[in-house]
Amino acid sequence: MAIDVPINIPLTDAQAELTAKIGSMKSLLALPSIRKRNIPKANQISTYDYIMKILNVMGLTPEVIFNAFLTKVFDQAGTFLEDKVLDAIGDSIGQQGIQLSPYINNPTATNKTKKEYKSNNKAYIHGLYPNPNFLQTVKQKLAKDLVVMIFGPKQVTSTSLNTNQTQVNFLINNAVCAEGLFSLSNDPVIRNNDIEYNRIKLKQQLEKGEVVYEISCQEVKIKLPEDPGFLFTGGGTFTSPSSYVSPAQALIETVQYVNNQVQRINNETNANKGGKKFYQILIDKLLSFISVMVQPYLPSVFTVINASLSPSQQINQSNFVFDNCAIVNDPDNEIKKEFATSLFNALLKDLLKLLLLFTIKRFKRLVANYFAKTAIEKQKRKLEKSKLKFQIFSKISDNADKIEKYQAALKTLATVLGAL
Amino acid sequence: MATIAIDESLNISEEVADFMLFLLNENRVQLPKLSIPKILLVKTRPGLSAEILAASITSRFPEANIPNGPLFGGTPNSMEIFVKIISEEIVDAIQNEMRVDVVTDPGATISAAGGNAGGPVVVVGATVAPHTGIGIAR
Repeated sequence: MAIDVPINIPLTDAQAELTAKIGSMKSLLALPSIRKRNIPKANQISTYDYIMKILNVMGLTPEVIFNAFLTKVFDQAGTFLEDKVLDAIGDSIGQQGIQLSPYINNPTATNKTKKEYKSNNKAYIHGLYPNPNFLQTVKQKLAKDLVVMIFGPKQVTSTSLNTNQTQVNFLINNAVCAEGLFSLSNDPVIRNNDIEYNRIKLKQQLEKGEVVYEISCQEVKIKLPEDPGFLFTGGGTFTSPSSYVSPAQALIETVQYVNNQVQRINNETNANKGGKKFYQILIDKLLSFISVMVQPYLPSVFTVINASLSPSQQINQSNFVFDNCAIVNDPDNEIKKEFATSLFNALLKDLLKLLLLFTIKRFKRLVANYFAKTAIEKQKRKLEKSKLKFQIFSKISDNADKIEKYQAALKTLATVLGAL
Repeated sequence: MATIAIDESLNISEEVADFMLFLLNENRVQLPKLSIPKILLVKTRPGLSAEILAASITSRFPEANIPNGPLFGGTPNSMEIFVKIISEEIVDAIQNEMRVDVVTDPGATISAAGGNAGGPVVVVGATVAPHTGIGIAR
């Protein structure tokens, strides 16, 4: 068989350039083209989660904002919570097609009309209550009830935060029903039977007074001390006994207590993370439980509203304000949900407002620092280069010829080369 | 899905991102307008050099933990060669393909002197329209 020796045929520069360019063009065409992802609003990350993500990448923690939020909600001198509750009542009445003034009862009202009724009701109720203070004296009690709903136990003792067994039963049952009812974050995919399982487990834990929370990928069992009263009356590690503790401070102290519990079973780094994570759980729980917590104090509000209505127009709290268990047992009933939905969203709006303002402020500072720092670095590099030039050519003019410049540059080596 | 949903008006994560990107763009340091003498001094600049540019970049390799010079065993440093190629191509494109269009604002002061049968005429005024020009990047 004849030997077939392949001939080496080199390409010219132009030929090689063309084949290389075609190759690279083909490769670039094969790259995936930019696709703008159009994610529906409902499937996008929740605003709360996204702000948390931004704060996290900026290396900031939201504790200071959570403190501010708790202080606002449990402010014993302010009417922030009261205003939101009155708005929620107005919304709930409007959702049933009722306008208080001028009185209209239109159960078949469209959503648009209901929206008008809600707006009018809110304004009317606020008119009846120019300085709403029906919760001012019970803020401490509300904070205690929140702690009971988070930690249990069901069995009341003389040192319990709430010594009324009926009230505690109501609170614990509603804390269990709140499982899967609200979420600040994007909804996790949980099957109904899993929610039921979670509720049963939570009920067992709350009744026992030993609640398990997943903090930093670790299950932590939290149990309040036998006499948790010091959280609200001073004492313990952080406050002196019998000192005045505001409701918000007491809740912040509770977070610190959880932090210590986590630290007891973990190393310090994780303990801090645990405390921070629990703060988010606390805020989440507060928004989930608040509609139930305020219910015992609403009859006085309905009395004031009814005083301005004729006997045939009287409204009853039990038809407008429903607890978490009533909502869970009839999840498609928009009327039952309205009060809780309105209150939850109103408080969430304020929380987001605080978080967003904080994030924007810190982001602006970060951006300003970033550009200032990069500008300084750039300037420094420029200066170093100019300095080098200046050291060599300072004594000669800008339009000096090449020989003059060469001589000037050479002079810098004179210490070694000597005079040339 | 949670039984009680978050109000649609509170789902603004995309708007938050857009707003913060806007802040990022708005906070960029705006370059100051150069004075005429500073612009005239540009004449003394030596012009772009691919070799100087490549050397400047490679000299900063240590900032990014990239080694300078030949690698272990005398292997040529591909990164340095790569930077040289990039610098050459970019400088070549700027010097040979870049186009500089210039426009001057109206209002530039003009003064002219001439004359006619009546005697010398001196004109002082300002341009009323913007004027275009061309430039070359070196």
